[in-house]
Amino acid sequence: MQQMQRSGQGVMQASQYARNLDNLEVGTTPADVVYQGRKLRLLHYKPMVEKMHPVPLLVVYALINRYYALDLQPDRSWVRNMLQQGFDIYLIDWGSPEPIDKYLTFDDYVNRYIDTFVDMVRDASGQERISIHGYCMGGTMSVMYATLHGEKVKNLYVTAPVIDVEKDTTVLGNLSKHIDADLLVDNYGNIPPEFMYLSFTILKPFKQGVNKYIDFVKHADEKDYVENFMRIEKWLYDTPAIAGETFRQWIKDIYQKNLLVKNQMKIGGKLVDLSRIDMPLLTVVAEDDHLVSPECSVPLNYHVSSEDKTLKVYPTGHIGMLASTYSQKHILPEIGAWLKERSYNHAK
Amino acid sequence: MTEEKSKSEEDNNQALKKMFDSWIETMNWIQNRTPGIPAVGPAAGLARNSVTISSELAQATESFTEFNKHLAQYYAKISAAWMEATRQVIAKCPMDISDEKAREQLKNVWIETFEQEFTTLFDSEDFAQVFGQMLKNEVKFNKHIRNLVEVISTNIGMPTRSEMDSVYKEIERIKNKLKEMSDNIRDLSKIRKETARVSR
Repeated sequence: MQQMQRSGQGVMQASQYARNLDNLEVGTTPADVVYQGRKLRLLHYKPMVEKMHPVPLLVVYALINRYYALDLQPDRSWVRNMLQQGFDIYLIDWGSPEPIDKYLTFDDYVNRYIDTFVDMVRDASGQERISIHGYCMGGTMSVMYATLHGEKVKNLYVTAPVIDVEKDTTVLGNLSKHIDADLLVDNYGNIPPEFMYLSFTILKPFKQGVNKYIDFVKHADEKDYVENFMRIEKWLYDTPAIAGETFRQWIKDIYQKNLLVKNQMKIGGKLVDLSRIDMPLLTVVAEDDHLVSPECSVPLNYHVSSEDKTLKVYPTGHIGMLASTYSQKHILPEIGAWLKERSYNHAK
Repeated sequence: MTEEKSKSEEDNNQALKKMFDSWIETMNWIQNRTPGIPAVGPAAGLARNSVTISSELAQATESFTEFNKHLAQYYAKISAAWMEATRQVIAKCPMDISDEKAREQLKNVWIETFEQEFTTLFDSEDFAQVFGQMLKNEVKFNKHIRNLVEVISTNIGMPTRSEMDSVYKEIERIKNKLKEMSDNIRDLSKIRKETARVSR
């Protein structure tokens, strides 16, 4: 009886929190906006230590969900951790595409936007080549960029990039093979967020869809637990639309034809040849990743020509690689060490 | 029982399809004669486009029927997975759930079993095909309604989505041209600086 009363109070409290979702602060690490387009922004984070490593790091986030996954809350912030390790960090906030953006392709994202931002970071830092970190779909775009503009990339660090989809074992990979991307894009233009929610909700419907809410009700009177939970929920349901033409390429060329790993994908008329990647490469994957299975990302390491390449597999999930206590304690110190060693001009 | 049910669903779908087909035939017969209707002004446009309008309506209805057919298959699969998972949970669950530990154990068994059953379903080729078809027909329905709105909008002089699309396309082309030009300027200024440095 007592337990039922407690659960009832928890549910009531949960609805209060849900009403305040918009006021929940995320992405609080101080940053300057060094470029502001109609929607697109380039953030430059303020340093947290006196001595910084000279080679800056540009973060290319995915086009799905929002960039602040890297800075959800101070004690689990990827950005804050890397700043404290002395890295000079720039991050692309892609914003939300509007109907006018429906014709944006990977060519625009990679050869126009990323390239412009890389040039801006190079100019601001005075470095000929910079480090790039790409996460998930951003990892795939970083890989495309590195094949086409390798002369500007000193180090490439990717987390869960989508590379060889034939080896992908996720539900998302299975469903994507049967989606009529042409019909969707021709009809909707940009792919609406609702479509993305639908795809996410069937990924782990009980462990993540039901169990987490049962646990939430149990812990609804614990302030830290609730705030952490609500931040992740806010991030999960804050996904922008995807530019139509980019979605068409993403589904058809990558998920259905698997062109990327076959070195047959073209963007802006240029061939994306993975063997052109010869800079130091760090690939990070998670054993329990249900969005991009490790088997899908790992082949990158076997298709590049880099001599200095490292593959790290961690016992966590897709978002756990960025925003978890585990990541703060185990993943980021290792990544920082790898990157630091290669962030000086005398470095290999 | 399930076989009988699905046969009856199939029969219903066939009957509906047959009915729509005969409507389409009748409408086509009538519409082929509509251009002969004497109309002037805006109504002339509507009369001229009446074939397209009714054809889009008929196709929208057909897509909706197909969507419903696949929606029924989708729910049948979900429901079968749910039943199977429930059966497994009943077989595995402890008999006595009066204490909290047993209830927690039941919850864990329930989550684990359902997760396993539904992941197997969502991972299957069969489910992905039904899901793909359901989505396809939903979007096709939407497409025909949009085409309908487009024809009507044109007749009453409203901007249409196709017109907006061509504007978006042109803006995108101009943006790419600008990027190309600014890259060229950047390269030229680099060459100029380099030439000046060498000649000094």
